[in-house]
Amino acid sequence: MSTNISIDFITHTFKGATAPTLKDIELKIEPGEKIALIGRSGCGKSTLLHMLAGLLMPSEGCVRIHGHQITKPSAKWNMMFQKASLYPWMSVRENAELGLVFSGKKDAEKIDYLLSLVGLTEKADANVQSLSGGQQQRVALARSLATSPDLLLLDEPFSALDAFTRSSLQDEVAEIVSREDLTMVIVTHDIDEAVAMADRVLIMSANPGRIVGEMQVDLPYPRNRASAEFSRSREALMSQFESLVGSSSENVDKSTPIEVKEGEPEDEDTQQAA
Amino acid sequence: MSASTSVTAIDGSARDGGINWSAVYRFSLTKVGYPLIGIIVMLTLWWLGGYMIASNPDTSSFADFAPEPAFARLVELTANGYVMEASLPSLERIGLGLLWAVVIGVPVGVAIGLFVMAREISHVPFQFLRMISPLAWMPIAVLAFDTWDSAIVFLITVAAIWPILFSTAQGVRRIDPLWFKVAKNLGADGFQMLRRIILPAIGQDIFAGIRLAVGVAWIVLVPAEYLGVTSGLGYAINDARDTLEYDTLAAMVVVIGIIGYFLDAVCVNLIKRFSWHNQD
Repeated sequence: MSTNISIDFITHTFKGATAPTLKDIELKIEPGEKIALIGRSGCGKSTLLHMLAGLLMPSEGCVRIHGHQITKPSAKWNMMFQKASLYPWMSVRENAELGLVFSGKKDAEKIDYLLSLVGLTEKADANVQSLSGGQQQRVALARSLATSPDLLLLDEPFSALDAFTRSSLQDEVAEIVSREDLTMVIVTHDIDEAVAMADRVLIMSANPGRIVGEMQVDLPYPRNRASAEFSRSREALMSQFESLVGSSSENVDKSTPIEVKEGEPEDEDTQQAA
Repeated sequence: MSASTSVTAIDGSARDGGINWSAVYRFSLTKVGYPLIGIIVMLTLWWLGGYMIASNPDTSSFADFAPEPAFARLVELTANGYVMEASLPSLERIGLGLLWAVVIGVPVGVAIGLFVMAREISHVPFQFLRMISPLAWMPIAVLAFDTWDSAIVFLITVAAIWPILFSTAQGVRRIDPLWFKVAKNLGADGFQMLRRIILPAIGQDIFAGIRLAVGVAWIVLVPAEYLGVTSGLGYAINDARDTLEYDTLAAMVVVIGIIGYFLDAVCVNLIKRFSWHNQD
């Protein structure tokens, strides 16, 4: 499904905050693009993603998909979170199917296909609590894909996983997204993740959150992390990031993601609507 | 050398395939042995009390309270159907009272759990009402309802509603906020959110509340049945007292305790069944 998305001059100030979290964000996303938003904790990247999902309304400006303003969440612009957040009283299959249950369009064949896509065919009837963290995120991915979203939004979806699981899932998701020709936006503070998954990386700086630079990653999927091109892209992104955002002691590390959890305020704000 | 290894192998496989005696021992000790000790201690204290009452000339007319006459009477009353006859009306009243408590308590509890405004508005009135003994409503219940039966059901409802309501509200407040976010993101409407997410998430909290409610309601039932009605366990107790049949009185106390125990066991099973926590 192809989608074109435009973000029109979004500025956002949280209730009670004196300075805006996001200022004058403008962005166009072409159908099939795979975007990574990178930046330090607190730069508002996760806030921006919540706005794309319709889970948060900007104080100024708007997000449009195909020219229509997004005003509420929808299974058509679907978000995956850092926590898989599966429902423990449902089996793997029931979790994956949930979006279709909500829309009244149950489709067993589609779920079979998606479970095989994420390699969980044999776990279809398992209790989700018996799955590993990586397997849980695979279920969450199948759940997000089940509603055939125009836009897949990923909010640091792998940062709670161990390094090996993380990198293999990054490659897998990137491949699935490219094979299914989905439009994707991933928020991350992991340079490797950005280079492994995105074809366009946007660099954000904080106070106020703005997009300060971008870089194309023109490598075919599946990407080979050991290749010279991959290393070159990573070095290029790293140096661009440092020159734009500045390197400091609390640097964005090449390999280890920063532990600080971002997005307390936006979590509260979006909860209100629940 | 090879002989000894094969012996170990046989030994090991026997242990895997056969009965693990130390586990059996531990299980029978904790699940059978200890409860048995508890029951024996209770019966001994009862017997001692009966012995002291019987040996004191001032109280010897109450000697039928002791375990031997009480159990003899219990067997007799069970055989002639009196126990069943007394229990069924009580169980019906408690069932109806609990039903009303669930029908009112769960929706109100969900609302209080979900909405800050509902929580703040209801806080003072509910904490105030909760602290009033259900039996204090008795005169009002008698005035307000046509029949004694419905007055008793009302008293049980009043007793049972609070644990269910507060446990439900607590369960809703503990729901992971991300579960709401994900469901909304997947396109859930309000009703679907309630049916697919909220109710399954709090199933065990509702039944934990019902378990507490059953305890309170079963206690309130007996004094409530002292009033007006001519059936039920409370009536049987009161009647035995009036007719000085202390063995019947003690036998009915045993019946009340046993039924209460089984009602609680049913609730524990329901809590387990509706719990989604991994039970390993």
